[in-house]
Amino acid sequence: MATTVPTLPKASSWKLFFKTVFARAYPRIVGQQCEKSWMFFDIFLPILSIAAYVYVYRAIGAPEEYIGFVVLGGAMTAFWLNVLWSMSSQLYWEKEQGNLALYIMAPSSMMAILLGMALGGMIATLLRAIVILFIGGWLFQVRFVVTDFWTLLLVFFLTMTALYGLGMMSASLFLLLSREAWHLANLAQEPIYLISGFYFPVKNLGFWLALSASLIPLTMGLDAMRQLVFPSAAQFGFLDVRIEVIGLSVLCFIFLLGARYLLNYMEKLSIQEGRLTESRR
Amino acid sequence: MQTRLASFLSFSWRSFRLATWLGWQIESNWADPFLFTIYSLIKPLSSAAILVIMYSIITKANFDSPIFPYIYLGNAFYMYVGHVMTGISWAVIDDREHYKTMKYIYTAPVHFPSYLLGRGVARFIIASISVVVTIVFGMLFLNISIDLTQVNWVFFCINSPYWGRDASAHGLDSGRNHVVAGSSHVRGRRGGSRRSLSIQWGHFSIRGIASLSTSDRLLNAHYVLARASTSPFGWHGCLQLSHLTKFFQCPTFSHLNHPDPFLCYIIRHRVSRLRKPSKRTGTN
Repeated sequence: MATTVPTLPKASSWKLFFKTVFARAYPRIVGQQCEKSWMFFDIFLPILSIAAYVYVYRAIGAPEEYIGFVVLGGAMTAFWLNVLWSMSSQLYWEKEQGNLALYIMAPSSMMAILLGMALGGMIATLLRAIVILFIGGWLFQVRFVVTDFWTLLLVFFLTMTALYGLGMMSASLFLLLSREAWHLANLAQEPIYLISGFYFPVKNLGFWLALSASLIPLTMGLDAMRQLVFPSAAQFGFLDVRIEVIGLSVLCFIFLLGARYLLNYMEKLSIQEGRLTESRR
Repeated sequence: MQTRLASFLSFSWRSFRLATWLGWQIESNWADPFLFTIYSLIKPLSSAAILVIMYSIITKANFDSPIFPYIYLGNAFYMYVGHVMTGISWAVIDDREHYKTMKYIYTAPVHFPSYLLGRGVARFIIASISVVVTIVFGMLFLNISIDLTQVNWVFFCINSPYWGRDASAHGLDSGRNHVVAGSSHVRGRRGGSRRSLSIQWGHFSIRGIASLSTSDRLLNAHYVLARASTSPFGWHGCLQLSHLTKFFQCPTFSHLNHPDPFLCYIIRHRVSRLRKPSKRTGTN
């Protein structure tokens, strides 16, 4: 007598895509809120480093706008660190822990997994960044005056899209790495804080250096947000906000497309060579 | 008695020497020497450059002001704090989480504190290179004048080994925390590790503020906190580093600091601690 095996309805490709995105985002949003001490330290530590830079500015008699620049830049470092450690190097960690093979074998798109990682990380980090911004603003008496809320929202959205697109793209590249992944991610902190102007207006680096640094979305994003949040910051701005919005849109397009291309390329390469290891040199 | 001591010293030295070699291999052989050199130089120089640019924007590049070397040298020496402390305590995480060798090392005939200290030496060497490069860069390009004849070598020599011991002791303590975190937290090893790492980074950041701060009010606050601190590691190491800058720049800093009571307090405190070994860490 033949038994019938109950089958679950198969998700269509788009439905599967979004379910995968949600499934990968879920542990990032929920999991990171479960451990209360992580939340505390994720908020507390950036405020300490912000405080160090604020005191330096105060000691040398900087105008009050600069304190605001540091607080805003310090809040945005949370996103950069999230992209660096939880996006770019994530597939490398997954490979180290043995999960990568499961991801690849799963009948869903790798792009959806990366997108879920990005969305989950972005939302979890956003909560922390907002708290850092408020506590930092309150501690150091920073006055935020939003001149154009919708443009600010657009700039933030474009910056995040481009930034996490960059993270998705570099996740594929990090798959090629071994122990150097940790060191390279470590290396991409202070130099990026420097050239992206996290703690000072990027305009001061000179036009060409600032333009080169604009390949990192946070450079233009931070510059535009400062101009929109501190009215007097227009004089410190690198480019006009409208130009920066266009620049960020171009970066979004390039990085998301690049992420898709590189992911496909890595997948093809690993199928050809029958392995996904760092010894491909 | 002497034989036992000699055998213990030989045992500790062997553990220390081999761990040093291992630590250096782990830190350096992931890249070719050229890339490793670039890596070792870019990070500290970028960190210093952030402060240099911040300073030059506000003061219109007035690098002759005595406050600049104070900030610059404080930042340069602060590299030791992070490197020495993480070098030792990170070894536990690395061995347990990454290489999965911790239990074998722990049960092997190795003097564990010496092993951890040895693992920290590689980072100490890298930190020393970074500090020297940062200071030389400052001397060559940023007009930082260090007059070696003005250095108060007595204070410098008294304070440096004490600070080194402090940082190492803190690293060992963090290492111990990581071991404990790995075995006891109900949420699993990762949660515990991250928590103790976070606490450790909290110490770094507070010390960072102390080393960078330049205003009189803050120095007063640190002085009070240093006095009030009951921790065996406390704030002193960093404060000492911060104040070491004075030894390089004695005449120019007279209006910025209140060195003598503070230094006397630190040295007195050190001597009294030497007489009373710390029970908490088992190290002195």
